[in-house]
Amino acid sequence: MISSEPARVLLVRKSVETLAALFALVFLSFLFLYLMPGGPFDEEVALNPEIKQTLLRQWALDRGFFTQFLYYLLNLFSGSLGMSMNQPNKKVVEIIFAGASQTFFLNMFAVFIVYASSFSTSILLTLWTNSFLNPLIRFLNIVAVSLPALFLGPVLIYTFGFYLQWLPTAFLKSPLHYVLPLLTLSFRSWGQLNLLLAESLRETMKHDFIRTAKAKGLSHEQVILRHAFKNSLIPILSVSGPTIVGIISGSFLVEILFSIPGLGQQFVESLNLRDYPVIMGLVLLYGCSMILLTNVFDVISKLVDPRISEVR
Amino acid sequence: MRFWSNFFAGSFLIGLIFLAFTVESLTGYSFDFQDTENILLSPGLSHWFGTDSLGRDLFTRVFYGARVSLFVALFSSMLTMIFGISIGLIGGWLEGWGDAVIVRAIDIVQSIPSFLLVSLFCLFFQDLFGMGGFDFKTLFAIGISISLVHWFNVAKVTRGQTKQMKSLDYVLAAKALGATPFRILCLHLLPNMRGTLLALFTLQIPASILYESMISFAGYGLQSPQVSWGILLQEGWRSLSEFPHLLLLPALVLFMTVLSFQLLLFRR
Repeated sequence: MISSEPARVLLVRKSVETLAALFALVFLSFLFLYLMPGGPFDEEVALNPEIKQTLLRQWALDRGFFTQFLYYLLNLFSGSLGMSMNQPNKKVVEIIFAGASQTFFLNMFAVFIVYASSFSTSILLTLWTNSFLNPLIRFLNIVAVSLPALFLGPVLIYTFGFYLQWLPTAFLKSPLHYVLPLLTLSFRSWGQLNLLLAESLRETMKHDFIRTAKAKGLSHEQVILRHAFKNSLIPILSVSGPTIVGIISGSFLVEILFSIPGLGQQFVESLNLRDYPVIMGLVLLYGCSMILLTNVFDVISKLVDPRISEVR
Repeated sequence: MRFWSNFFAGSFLIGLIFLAFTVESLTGYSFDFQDTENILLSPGLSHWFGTDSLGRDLFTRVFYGARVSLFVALFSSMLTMIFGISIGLIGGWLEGWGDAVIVRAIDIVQSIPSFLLVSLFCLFFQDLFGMGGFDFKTLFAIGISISLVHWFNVAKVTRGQTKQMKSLDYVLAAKALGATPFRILCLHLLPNMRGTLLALFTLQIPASILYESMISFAGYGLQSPQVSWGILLQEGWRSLSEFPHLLLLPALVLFMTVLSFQLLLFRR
């Protein structure tokens, strides 16, 4: 789809599409949880049928599909995600807010580190083609791409936490607590992004305008930093959405490994307890924010370079 | 350099598959044999990777677990390819609404963190099929869940290639001869993408291995008396401070496997 549409049309079309995607997400995740076998009141000891009936009626679980969905939508528009089914008298919003800050800061720092480090290493790779660092970074890169967090995390915990006893290995209480989780979380994504960025830089260096810049008498550093780097960023912009989603997906495991009481652990717990409202809340929170984010990145990269095709 | 990395990766993978099928007769221990006199041994001569808290030989368990992990990986990668290719072909061939719906679907799936989605699907399918101990149902459930989340990568590439190729002359010629879209897609377009698709397939296998281990580690996959890499990691995780070899050795084999696949694919 080659779009030569003006910016305003692009914005309107994109926002309509985003809204449609959001609605589809809400509907699909509700459908999914509706179809999920096993209910929140199916315990090992069977409840008294009358009590169970009352509970089901209280949560409107005995109604038809569309009635339940309608209730959910109405609640959603009034800004409420309902009450938790397993933690009495707690709103889903409260539960999510309790864990959100830890997860948010962890992921935000990780995203920052991934971008900063892969920008600098990819520039280094292009700048010093003959340095001894070059093969080293390349080797580290391929290790990073194939290093599972399930290996890196425990290795770091064992060496720095248990053996050397330099760093704390659980919770996020001080800046020192962030070191190991952040390292585990960002290493793999650094590898992936660096691979892409280095490739993109190498491609950019072949263009005619680089030769012109060199012919003008600019130094190697100036050519790379002023001309090549900016142009190599365009493909990175369009993979930014998936990259960030990848980091967030990794944070679930990191939260389990480092016992961080964030959204990831909350999700694992409520999935085991079949706590539908909390699961729905988390799916919606992650899904909606990521759909918004990827579409924003889409629009930006289209505005920067209209030749970019719709699907990355 | 290139030769040696390929050599290393290839021989590791061949050795892994060989060991996966012969390990029990090689070491003389069965994967669930409990050597109760020698529990929690460190790696040594009689038990190469040591033993766990029930005296089971870890070397046997790691390579026995490779069977399950590799089976799940192959199965789910194939399913991923099937889903991705068919959706991608349809999206590439259609114009207008049909294509737009598929693009939106890809957008939604890739926006949700994959760990969240895989564990949701996994629990859903296990509940649907009925939970059992070790049976192929659980393996299928894990495989289907992984592929339901990863198809979009394949679909994106296939759709793009179909869009490019469908206006080429030989496709027009086939159309003029009255070939149905199905025939054109399967007999003319697919064979021309086989290189790209093969690379995607090889890339998907390590990803599936990782997802299987993550899911079993978090507790949504296979359950404990059975062996897969995820379960070994989960068991080792509980005693990391005292007996690190129980986690680090299985994790090392996992890492080497993924690394081998990456080395085989890595160009320059």
